[in-house]
Amino acid sequence: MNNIKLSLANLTKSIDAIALPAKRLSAAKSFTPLNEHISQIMSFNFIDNDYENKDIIFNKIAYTSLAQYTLENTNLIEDEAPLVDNLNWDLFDEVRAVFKNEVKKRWQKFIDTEIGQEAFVFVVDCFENWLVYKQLHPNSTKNPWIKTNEILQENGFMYFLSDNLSDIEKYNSQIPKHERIEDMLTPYSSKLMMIASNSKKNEIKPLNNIEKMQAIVLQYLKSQHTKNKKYVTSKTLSKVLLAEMYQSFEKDWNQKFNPQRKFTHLSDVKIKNIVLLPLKRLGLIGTSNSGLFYIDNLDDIEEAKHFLTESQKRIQKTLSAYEHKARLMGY
Amino acid sequence: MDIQQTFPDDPIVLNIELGAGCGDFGKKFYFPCYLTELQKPTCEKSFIDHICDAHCLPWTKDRFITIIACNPFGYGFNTEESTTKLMDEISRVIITAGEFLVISSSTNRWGSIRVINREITKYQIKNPHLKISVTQKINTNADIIATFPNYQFYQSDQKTTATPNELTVIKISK
Repeated sequence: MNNIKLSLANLTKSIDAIALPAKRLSAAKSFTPLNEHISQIMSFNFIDNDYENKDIIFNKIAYTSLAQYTLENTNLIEDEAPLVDNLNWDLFDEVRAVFKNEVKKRWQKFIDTEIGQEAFVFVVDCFENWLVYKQLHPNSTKNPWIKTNEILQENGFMYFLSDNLSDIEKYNSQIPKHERIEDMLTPYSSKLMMIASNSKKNEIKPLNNIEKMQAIVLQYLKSQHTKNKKYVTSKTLSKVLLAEMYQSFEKDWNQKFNPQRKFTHLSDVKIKNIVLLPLKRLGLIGTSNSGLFYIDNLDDIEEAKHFLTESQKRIQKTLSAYEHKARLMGY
Repeated sequence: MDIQQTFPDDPIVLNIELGAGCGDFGKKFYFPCYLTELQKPTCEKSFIDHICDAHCLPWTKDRFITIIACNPFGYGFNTEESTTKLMDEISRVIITAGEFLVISSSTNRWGSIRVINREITKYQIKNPHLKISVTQKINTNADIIATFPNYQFYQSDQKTTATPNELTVIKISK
Protein backbone atom coordinates (compact mmCIF):
# COMPACT_ATOMS: atom_id res chain seq x y z
CA MET A 1 0.00 0.00 0.00
CA ASN A 2 1.20 3.47 -0.87
CA ASN A 3 0.03 4.98 2.39
CA ILE A 4 3.31 5.80 4.10
CA LYS A 5 3.59 9.40 5.30
CA LEU A 6 6.99 10.67 4.34
CA SER A 7 8.67 13.07 6.70
CA LEU A 8 12.02 14.76 7.01
CA ALA A 9 12.86 12.40 9.88
CA ASN A 10 12.28 9.15 8.03
CA LEU A 11 13.85 10.41 4.81
CA THR A 12 16.90 11.63 6.72
CA LYS A 13 17.40 8.06 7.93
CA SER A 14 17.72 6.97 4.29
CA ILE A 15 20.19 9.79 3.68
CA ASP A 16 22.40 8.70 6.55
CA ALA A 17 22.58 5.29 4.96
CA ILE A 18 23.32 6.72 1.50
CA ALA A 19 25.92 9.25 2.56
CA LEU A 20 27.82 6.97 4.89
CA PRO A 21 29.43 4.24 2.84
CA ALA A 22 29.21 0.91 4.63
CA LYS A 23 32.25 -0.45 2.87
CA ARG A 24 34.54 0.58 0.06
CA LEU A 25 34.53 -1.81 -2.82
CA SER A 26 36.33 -1.54 -6.13
CA ALA A 27 35.03 1.00 -8.63
CA ALA A 28 34.35 -1.86 -11.02
CA LYS A 29 31.58 -2.98 -8.69
CA SER A 30 29.94 0.46 -9.05
CA PHE A 31 29.18 -0.34 -12.67
CA THR A 32 26.83 -3.19 -11.83
CA PRO A 33 24.21 -1.10 -9.96
CA LEU A 34 24.52 1.62 -12.58
CA ASN A 35 23.86 -0.84 -15.40
CA GLU A 36 20.87 -2.13 -13.46
CA HIS A 37 19.63 1.43 -12.97
CA ILE A 38 19.90 2.14 -16.70
CA SER A 39 18.28 -1.15 -17.56
CA GLN A 40 15.37 -0.22 -15.27
CA ILE A 41 14.73 3.21 -16.73
CA MET A 42 14.90 1.70 -20.20
CA SER A 43 12.19 -0.74 -19.24
CA PHE A 44 9.72 2.14 -19.11
CA ASN A 45 10.71 3.19 -22.57
CA PHE A 46 10.29 -0.25 -24.11
CA ILE A 47 6.75 -0.61 -22.83
CA ASP A 48 5.39 2.49 -24.44
CA ASN A 49 7.65 3.72 -27.19
CA ASP A 50 8.20 2.47 -30.70
CA TYR A 51 11.65 0.89 -30.63
CA GLU A 52 11.52 -0.44 -34.18
CA ASN A 53 11.79 2.79 -36.09
CA LYS A 54 14.30 4.41 -33.83
CA ASP A 55 17.90 5.18 -34.47
CA ILE A 56 19.13 4.37 -30.99
CA ILE A 57 22.23 6.24 -29.87
CA PHE A 58 22.69 5.98 -26.16
CA ASN A 59 24.27 9.23 -25.02
CA LYS A 60 23.73 11.79 -22.24
CA ILE A 61 20.63 13.34 -23.84
CA ALA A 62 19.11 9.90 -24.33
CA TYR A 63 19.80 9.08 -20.68
CA THR A 64 18.26 12.34 -19.43
CA SER A 65 15.20 11.81 -21.61
CA LEU A 66 14.72 8.31 -20.24
CA ALA A 67 14.93 9.66 -16.70
CA GLN A 68 12.38 12.36 -17.50
CA TYR A 69 10.09 9.82 -19.18
CA THR A 70 10.35 7.47 -16.20
CA LEU A 71 9.16 10.13 -13.75
CA GLU A 72 6.22 10.97 -16.01
CA ASN A 73 5.15 7.35 -16.49
CA THR A 74 5.64 5.43 -13.25
CA ASN A 75 2.19 3.93 -13.83
CA LEU A 76 3.71 1.75 -16.57
CA ILE A 77 5.43 -0.53 -14.09
CA GLU A 78 3.90 0.29 -10.72
CA ASP A 79 0.69 -1.48 -9.67
CA GLU A 80 -0.65 1.58 -7.88
CA ALA A 81 -1.30 5.05 -9.25
CA PRO A 82 1.38 7.66 -8.48
CA LEU A 83 0.55 9.88 -5.50
CA VAL A 84 1.01 13.12 -7.40
CA ASP A 85 -0.73 15.06 -4.63
CA ASN A 86 1.84 13.59 -2.26
CA LEU A 87 4.61 15.58 -3.97
CA ASN A 88 5.67 17.97 -1.26
CA TRP A 89 8.21 20.34 -2.76
CA ASP A 90 8.99 22.01 0.58
CA LEU A 91 9.89 18.63 2.03
CA PHE A 92 11.79 17.92 -1.18
CA ASP A 93 13.87 21.07 -0.61
CA GLU A 94 14.60 20.22 3.02
CA VAL A 95 15.61 16.65 2.28
CA ARG A 96 17.80 17.71 -0.63
CA ALA A 97 19.57 20.23 1.60
CA VAL A 98 20.26 17.53 4.21
CA PHE A 99 21.55 15.18 1.52
CA LYS A 100 23.83 17.81 -0.01
CA ASN A 101 25.25 18.69 3.39
CA GLU A 102 25.92 15.07 4.26
CA VAL A 103 27.67 14.40 0.96
CA LYS A 104 29.66 17.63 1.26
CA LYS A 105 30.77 16.72 4.78
CA ARG A 106 32.18 13.49 3.50
CA TRP A 107 33.51 14.60 0.12
CA GLN A 108 34.22 18.34 0.43
CA LYS A 109 37.86 18.15 -0.72
CA PHE A 110 36.90 16.07 -3.71
CA ILE A 111 33.91 18.27 -4.59
CA ASP A 112 36.27 21.26 -4.80
CA THR A 113 38.00 19.61 -7.77
CA GLU A 114 36.70 19.81 -11.35
CA ILE A 115 35.84 16.14 -11.58
CA GLY A 116 34.38 16.22 -8.05
CA GLN A 117 32.07 19.11 -8.92
CA GLU A 118 30.73 17.23 -11.92
CA ALA A 119 30.20 14.10 -9.83
CA PHE A 120 28.47 16.11 -7.09
CA VAL A 121 25.98 17.65 -9.54
CA PHE A 122 25.17 14.23 -11.01
CA VAL A 123 24.85 12.47 -7.65
CA VAL A 124 22.49 15.21 -6.37
CA ASP A 125 20.48 14.96 -9.59
CA CYS A 126 20.09 11.19 -9.15
CA PHE A 127 19.10 11.72 -5.52
CA GLU A 128 16.46 14.28 -6.56
CA ASN A 129 14.99 11.80 -9.04
CA TRP A 130 14.95 9.13 -6.32
CA LEU A 131 13.16 11.56 -4.02
CA VAL A 132 10.47 12.49 -6.56
CA TYR A 133 9.84 8.80 -7.29
CA LYS A 134 9.87 8.01 -3.56
CA GLN A 135 7.12 10.58 -2.95
CA LEU A 136 5.08 9.22 -5.84
CA HIS A 137 5.49 5.59 -4.72
CA PRO A 138 6.74 5.56 -1.11
CA ASN A 139 6.94 1.77 -0.74
CA SER A 140 8.15 0.90 -4.21
CA THR A 141 11.08 -1.44 -4.74
CA LYS A 142 11.05 -0.55 -8.44
CA ASN A 143 12.38 2.98 -8.01
CA PRO A 144 15.28 2.94 -10.53
CA TRP A 145 17.33 5.38 -8.45
CA ILE A 146 17.61 2.96 -5.51
CA LYS A 147 20.48 1.51 -7.52
CA THR A 148 22.30 4.82 -7.98
CA ASN A 149 22.05 5.46 -4.24
CA GLU A 150 23.72 2.07 -3.74
CA ILE A 151 26.84 3.24 -5.57
CA LEU A 152 27.42 5.93 -2.98
CA GLN A 153 26.19 3.88 -0.06
CA GLU A 154 27.59 0.42 -0.67
CA ASN A 155 30.54 1.18 -2.86
CA GLY A 156 31.63 4.53 -1.43
CA PHE A 157 32.10 6.04 -4.88
CA MET A 158 31.02 9.35 -6.37
CA TYR A 159 30.08 9.01 -10.01
CA PHE A 160 28.76 10.70 -13.11
CA LEU A 161 27.90 9.95 -16.71
CA SER A 162 29.40 11.78 -19.63
CA ASP A 163 29.58 11.56 -23.39
CA ASN A 164 31.93 14.51 -23.64
CA LEU A 165 35.02 12.72 -24.92
CA SER A 166 37.44 15.59 -24.34
CA ASP A 167 36.43 15.68 -20.67
CA ILE A 168 36.66 11.96 -20.41
CA GLU A 169 40.15 12.01 -21.95
CA LYS A 170 41.17 14.57 -19.33
CA TYR A 171 40.05 12.31 -16.50
CA ASN A 172 41.36 9.29 -18.29
CA SER A 173 44.89 10.67 -18.16
CA GLN A 174 44.71 10.01 -14.46
CA ILE A 175 44.52 6.27 -14.95
CA PRO A 176 47.20 3.88 -16.25
CA LYS A 177 48.02 3.86 -19.96
CA HIS A 178 46.93 0.29 -20.49
CA GLU A 179 43.41 1.41 -19.68
CA ARG A 180 43.01 4.02 -22.44
CA ILE A 181 39.41 4.55 -23.51
CA GLU A 182 39.95 3.22 -27.03
CA ASP A 183 41.21 -0.02 -25.51
CA MET A 184 38.15 -0.27 -23.31
CA LEU A 185 35.66 -0.04 -26.16
CA THR A 186 33.94 -3.18 -27.34
CA PRO A 187 31.32 -3.54 -30.08
CA TYR A 188 28.74 -3.40 -27.28
CA SER A 189 29.89 0.03 -26.02
CA SER A 190 27.58 3.03 -26.00
CA LYS A 191 28.69 6.66 -26.25
CA LEU A 192 28.13 7.09 -22.56
CA MET A 193 30.92 6.61 -20.03
CA MET A 194 30.64 6.22 -16.30
CA ILE A 195 33.32 7.94 -14.30
CA ALA A 196 33.52 6.69 -10.71
CA SER A 197 35.89 8.07 -8.13
CA ASN A 198 36.69 7.46 -4.51
CA SER A 199 38.59 10.79 -4.63
CA LYS A 200 41.95 9.00 -4.81
CA LYS A 201 41.39 6.99 -7.92
CA ASN A 202 39.16 7.52 -10.95
CA GLU A 203 37.82 4.66 -12.97
CA ILE A 204 36.21 5.08 -16.35
CA LYS A 205 34.14 2.59 -18.22
CA PRO A 206 32.04 2.80 -21.37
CA LEU A 207 28.56 1.59 -20.62
CA ASN A 208 27.12 -1.18 -22.71
CA ASN A 209 24.50 -0.06 -25.19
CA ILE A 210 21.77 -2.02 -23.45
CA GLU A 211 18.96 -0.12 -25.16
CA LYS A 212 20.32 -0.97 -28.60
CA MET A 213 20.89 -4.61 -27.64
CA GLN A 214 17.36 -4.94 -26.30
CA ALA A 215 15.94 -3.38 -29.46
CA ILE A 216 17.98 -5.84 -31.59
CA VAL A 217 16.74 -8.80 -29.55
CA LEU A 218 13.12 -7.69 -29.81
CA GLN A 219 13.35 -7.04 -33.52
CA TYR A 220 15.09 -10.34 -34.22
CA LEU A 221 12.74 -12.44 -32.11
CA LYS A 222 9.77 -10.70 -33.70
CA SER A 223 11.11 -11.41 -37.20
CA GLN A 224 11.52 -15.10 -36.31
CA HIS A 225 7.99 -15.40 -34.97
CA THR A 226 6.09 -16.94 -37.87
CA LYS A 227 3.22 -19.39 -38.15
CA ASN A 228 5.52 -22.42 -38.08
CA LYS A 229 8.45 -21.38 -35.93
CA LYS A 230 9.38 -18.88 -33.29
CA TYR A 231 12.20 -20.26 -31.14
CA VAL A 232 15.73 -18.85 -31.11
CA THR A 233 18.54 -20.37 -29.08
CA SER A 234 20.63 -18.13 -26.85
CA LYS A 235 23.72 -19.12 -28.88
CA THR A 236 22.13 -17.85 -32.11
CA LEU A 237 20.97 -14.72 -30.34
CA SER A 238 24.49 -13.95 -29.06
CA LYS A 239 25.84 -14.24 -32.62
CA VAL A 240 23.12 -11.99 -34.04
CA LEU A 241 23.73 -9.45 -31.29
CA LEU A 242 27.46 -9.28 -31.90
CA ALA A 243 27.06 -8.92 -35.67
CA GLU A 244 24.50 -6.14 -35.25
CA MET A 245 26.56 -4.39 -32.59
CA TYR A 246 29.57 -4.23 -34.94
CA GLN A 247 27.38 -2.19 -37.29
CA SER A 248 26.01 -0.10 -34.46
CA PHE A 249 29.54 0.67 -33.27
CA GLU A 250 30.51 1.89 -36.73
CA LYS A 251 27.57 4.27 -36.78
CA ASP A 252 28.04 5.58 -33.23
CA TRP A 253 31.80 6.02 -33.34
CA ASN A 254 32.20 6.77 -37.03
CA GLN A 255 34.83 4.06 -37.36
CA LYS A 256 34.85 0.32 -37.85
CA PHE A 257 35.57 -1.89 -34.91
CA ASN A 258 38.50 -4.10 -35.84
CA PRO A 259 37.12 -7.64 -35.58
CA GLN A 260 40.69 -8.88 -35.01
CA ARG A 261 40.97 -6.81 -31.84
CA LYS A 262 40.69 -8.72 -28.61
CA PHE A 263 37.88 -7.76 -26.29
CA THR A 264 35.84 -9.43 -23.63
CA HIS A 265 32.70 -10.89 -25.16
CA LEU A 266 29.53 -10.57 -23.19
CA SER A 267 28.93 -13.93 -21.58
CA ASP A 268 25.57 -15.67 -22.02
CA VAL A 269 24.91 -15.03 -18.33
CA LYS A 270 25.55 -11.30 -18.73
CA ILE A 271 23.35 -11.10 -21.83
CA LYS A 272 20.69 -12.96 -19.90
CA ASN A 273 20.91 -10.57 -16.94
CA ILE A 274 21.23 -7.17 -18.59
CA VAL A 275 19.46 -7.70 -21.92
CA LEU A 276 16.97 -10.57 -21.67
CA LEU A 277 15.77 -10.54 -18.08
CA PRO A 278 14.42 -6.94 -18.18
CA LEU A 279 12.55 -7.79 -21.41
CA LYS A 280 11.05 -10.87 -19.77
CA ARG A 281 9.99 -8.82 -16.78
CA LEU A 282 8.14 -6.51 -19.13
CA GLY A 283 6.32 -9.49 -20.64
CA LEU A 284 7.85 -8.83 -24.05
CA ILE A 285 9.71 -12.12 -24.53
CA GLY A 286 9.39 -15.65 -23.17
CA THR A 287 11.52 -18.77 -22.72
CA SER A 288 10.81 -22.46 -23.19
CA ASN A 289 12.94 -25.60 -23.51
CA SER A 290 13.16 -24.89 -27.26
CA GLY A 291 14.55 -21.38 -26.85
CA LEU A 292 13.56 -17.76 -26.58
CA PHE A 293 10.58 -16.27 -28.37
CA TYR A 294 8.70 -13.02 -28.94
CA ILE A 295 5.40 -12.80 -27.08
CA ASP A 296 2.82 -12.14 -29.73
CA ASN A 297 -0.36 -13.84 -28.51
CA LEU A 298 -2.05 -15.58 -25.61
CA ASP A 299 -0.53 -18.99 -26.54
CA ASP A 300 2.94 -17.46 -26.22
CA ILE A 301 2.08 -16.13 -22.78
CA GLU A 302 0.72 -19.51 -21.69
CA GLU A 303 3.89 -21.24 -22.94
CA ALA A 304 6.16 -18.78 -21.11
CA LYS A 305 4.10 -19.15 -17.94
CA HIS A 306 4.13 -22.97 -18.18
CA PHE A 307 7.93 -23.04 -18.52
CA LEU A 308 8.37 -20.80 -15.47
CA THR A 309 5.90 -22.84 -13.41
CA GLU A 310 7.76 -26.06 -14.26
CA SER A 311 11.10 -24.40 -13.37
CA GLN A 312 9.62 -23.34 -10.06
CA LYS A 313 8.55 -26.92 -9.35
CA ARG A 314 12.08 -28.20 -10.11
CA ILE A 315 13.59 -25.56 -7.80
CA GLN A 316 11.10 -26.51 -5.09
CA LYS A 317 12.11 -30.19 -5.40
CA THR A 318 15.77 -29.31 -4.93
CA LEU A 319 14.94 -27.07 -1.98
CA SER A 320 12.95 -29.88 -0.38
CA ALA A 321 15.89 -32.27 -0.91
CA TYR A 322 18.23 -29.85 0.90
CA GLU A 323 15.76 -29.43 3.75
CA HIS A 324 15.46 -33.22 4.05
CA LYS A 325 19.25 -33.59 4.06
CA ALA A 326 19.52 -30.92 6.78
CA ARG A 327 17.04 -32.81 8.93
CA LEU A 328 19.05 -36.03 8.44
CA MET A 329 22.13 -34.13 9.58
CA GLY A 330 20.32 -33.22 12.77
CA TYR A 331 19.60 -29.54 12.08
CA MET B 1 24.73 45.82 -19.36
CA ASP B 2 22.42 44.80 -22.16
CA ILE B 3 23.35 42.32 -24.85
CA GLN B 4 23.89 43.66 -28.38
CA GLN B 5 22.43 41.69 -31.24
CA THR B 6 24.98 40.63 -33.80
CA PHE B 7 22.68 38.94 -36.31
CA PRO B 8 19.79 40.03 -38.54
CA ASP B 9 16.71 40.16 -36.37
CA ASP B 10 13.16 40.21 -37.68
CA PRO B 11 11.16 42.75 -35.61
CA ILE B 12 7.92 41.02 -36.57
CA VAL B 13 8.89 37.97 -34.53
CA LEU B 14 7.73 38.67 -30.97
CA ASN B 15 7.56 35.11 -29.63
CA ILE B 16 10.36 32.75 -28.71
CA GLU B 17 10.56 29.11 -27.63
CA LEU B 18 13.47 27.98 -25.44
CA GLY B 19 15.00 24.51 -25.61
CA ALA B 20 12.85 23.60 -28.61
CA GLY B 21 14.95 20.55 -29.62
CA CYS B 22 13.67 19.08 -32.88
CA GLY B 23 10.09 20.23 -32.31
CA ASP B 24 8.25 23.13 -33.93
CA PHE B 25 5.70 23.87 -31.18
CA GLY B 26 6.33 27.64 -31.15
CA LYS B 27 6.11 27.98 -34.91
CA LYS B 28 2.94 25.90 -35.03
CA PHE B 29 0.95 27.54 -32.21
CA TYR B 30 2.61 30.94 -31.62
CA PHE B 31 3.70 31.93 -35.14
CA PRO B 32 5.83 33.91 -35.86
CA CYS B 33 8.21 32.53 -33.28
CA TYR B 34 11.94 32.01 -32.94
CA LEU B 35 13.04 28.57 -31.81
CA THR B 36 16.22 28.18 -29.79
CA GLU B 37 18.25 25.30 -28.40
CA LEU B 38 21.47 25.03 -26.40
CA GLN B 39 23.16 22.67 -28.85
CA LYS B 40 22.57 21.87 -32.48
CA PRO B 41 19.95 19.10 -32.51
CA THR B 42 20.91 15.87 -34.25
CA CYS B 43 17.51 15.32 -35.84
CA GLU B 44 17.08 15.09 -39.61
CA LYS B 45 14.80 18.11 -39.78
CA SER B 46 15.40 20.94 -37.35
CA PHE B 47 13.42 24.17 -37.03
CA ILE B 48 15.91 25.92 -34.75
CA ASP B 49 16.65 29.57 -35.59
CA HIS B 50 19.34 30.23 -32.99
CA ILE B 51 21.71 28.06 -30.97
CA CYS B 52 21.94 29.80 -27.61
CA ASP B 53 21.71 29.37 -23.86
CA ALA B 54 18.28 30.17 -22.35
CA HIS B 55 20.16 31.96 -19.57
CA CYS B 56 21.98 34.25 -21.99
CA LEU B 57 19.71 35.10 -24.92
CA PRO B 58 21.35 37.08 -27.73
CA TRP B 59 18.60 39.72 -27.93
CA THR B 60 18.26 43.20 -26.47
CA LYS B 61 15.97 43.86 -23.52
CA ASP B 62 12.16 44.19 -23.86
CA ARG B 63 12.15 42.13 -27.03
CA PHE B 64 9.46 39.41 -26.71
CA ILE B 65 5.75 39.26 -25.88
CA THR B 66 5.59 35.50 -25.37
CA ILE B 67 8.33 33.18 -24.18
CA ILE B 68 7.71 29.42 -24.19
CA ALA B 69 9.38 26.46 -22.51
CA CYS B 70 8.06 22.96 -23.27
CA ASN B 71 9.01 20.22 -20.80
CA PRO B 72 12.02 21.99 -19.29
CA PHE B 73 14.43 19.54 -17.70
CA GLY B 74 17.89 20.51 -16.54
CA TYR B 75 16.92 24.19 -16.43
CA GLY B 76 14.01 26.02 -14.82
CA PHE B 77 12.52 26.07 -11.34
CA ASN B 78 14.25 23.18 -9.55
CA THR B 79 16.16 25.39 -7.10
CA GLU B 80 16.28 29.02 -6.04
CA GLU B 81 19.54 29.35 -7.92
CA SER B 82 18.25 27.84 -11.18
CA THR B 83 15.08 29.96 -10.94
CA THR B 84 17.04 33.17 -10.46
CA LYS B 85 19.31 32.31 -13.37
CA LEU B 86 16.38 31.74 -15.73
CA MET B 87 13.99 34.43 -14.47
CA ASP B 88 16.65 37.16 -14.56
CA GLU B 89 17.05 36.52 -18.27
CA ILE B 90 13.33 36.10 -18.98
CA SER B 91 12.60 39.39 -17.16
CA ARG B 92 15.23 41.12 -19.24
CA VAL B 93 14.00 40.08 -22.70
CA ILE B 94 10.25 40.09 -22.03
CA ILE B 95 8.22 43.24 -22.63
CA THR B 96 6.14 44.53 -19.73
CA ALA B 97 2.97 42.44 -19.24
CA GLY B 98 4.53 39.75 -21.42
CA GLU B 99 3.87 36.07 -20.70
CA PHE B 100 6.20 33.18 -20.03
CA LEU B 101 4.40 29.91 -20.81
CA VAL B 102 5.64 26.69 -19.25
CA ILE B 103 4.25 23.39 -20.50
CA SER B 104 5.20 20.60 -18.15
CA SER B 105 4.27 17.47 -16.25
CA SER B 106 3.17 17.77 -12.62
CA THR B 107 6.00 15.43 -11.61
CA ASN B 108 8.64 17.61 -13.28
CA ARG B 109 10.72 19.30 -10.59
CA TRP B 110 11.96 21.82 -13.19
CA GLY B 111 8.56 23.06 -14.38
CA SER B 112 5.47 21.89 -12.51
CA ILE B 113 3.04 24.60 -11.33
CA ARG B 114 3.65 23.87 -7.67
CA VAL B 115 7.41 24.25 -8.02
CA ILE B 116 6.94 27.40 -10.10
CA ASN B 117 4.58 28.93 -7.52
CA ARG B 118 6.98 28.26 -4.69
CA GLU B 119 10.08 29.51 -6.49
CA ILE B 120 8.40 32.56 -8.02
CA THR B 121 7.21 33.64 -4.55
CA LYS B 122 10.84 33.65 -3.39
CA TYR B 123 12.01 35.34 -6.61
CA GLN B 124 9.33 38.04 -6.27
CA ILE B 125 10.53 38.92 -2.75
CA LYS B 126 14.07 39.38 -4.04
CA ASN B 127 12.84 41.40 -7.04
CA PRO B 128 10.19 43.84 -5.76
CA HIS B 129 10.56 46.03 -8.89
CA LEU B 130 8.83 43.26 -10.86
CA LYS B 131 5.17 42.33 -10.63
CA ILE B 132 4.85 38.62 -11.31
CA SER B 133 1.67 36.54 -11.36
CA VAL B 134 1.41 32.78 -11.86
CA THR B 135 -1.73 31.17 -13.27
CA GLN B 136 -2.42 27.58 -14.14
CA LYS B 137 -4.31 27.49 -17.44
CA ILE B 138 -4.38 23.72 -17.99
CA ASN B 139 -4.06 20.83 -15.55
CA THR B 140 -4.78 17.66 -17.52
CA ASN B 141 -3.07 15.91 -20.42
CA ALA B 142 -6.43 15.68 -22.22
CA ASP B 143 -6.76 19.47 -22.16
CA ILE B 144 -3.18 19.88 -23.40
CA ILE B 145 -4.04 17.59 -26.34
CA ALA B 146 -7.29 19.48 -27.00
CA THR B 147 -5.58 22.89 -26.84
CA PHE B 148 -2.63 21.89 -28.99
CA PRO B 149 -4.17 19.31 -31.38
CA ASN B 150 -2.10 16.99 -33.56
CA TYR B 151 1.08 17.83 -31.76
CA GLN B 152 3.32 15.18 -30.25
CA PHE B 153 5.51 16.43 -27.41
CA TYR B 154 8.88 14.75 -26.97
CA GLN B 155 11.57 14.63 -24.31
CA SER B 156 14.90 16.29 -24.96
CA ASP B 157 16.13 13.41 -27.18
CA GLN B 158 13.14 14.05 -29.48
CA LYS B 159 12.49 10.30 -29.67
CA THR B 160 10.99 9.56 -26.30
CA THR B 161 7.43 10.81 -25.98
CA ALA B 162 6.34 13.28 -23.32
CA THR B 163 2.92 13.61 -21.71
CA PRO B 164 2.68 17.12 -20.25
CA ASN B 165 -0.44 17.89 -18.23
CA GLU B 166 0.10 21.49 -17.16
CA LEU B 167 0.23 24.86 -18.83
CA THR B 168 1.39 27.58 -16.47
CA VAL B 169 1.41 31.24 -17.42
CA ILE B 170 3.86 33.55 -15.68
CA LYS B 171 2.97 37.18 -16.37
CA ILE B 172 5.70 39.72 -15.76
CA SER B 173 5.23 43.48 -15.45
CA LYS B 174 8.23 45.74 -15.06
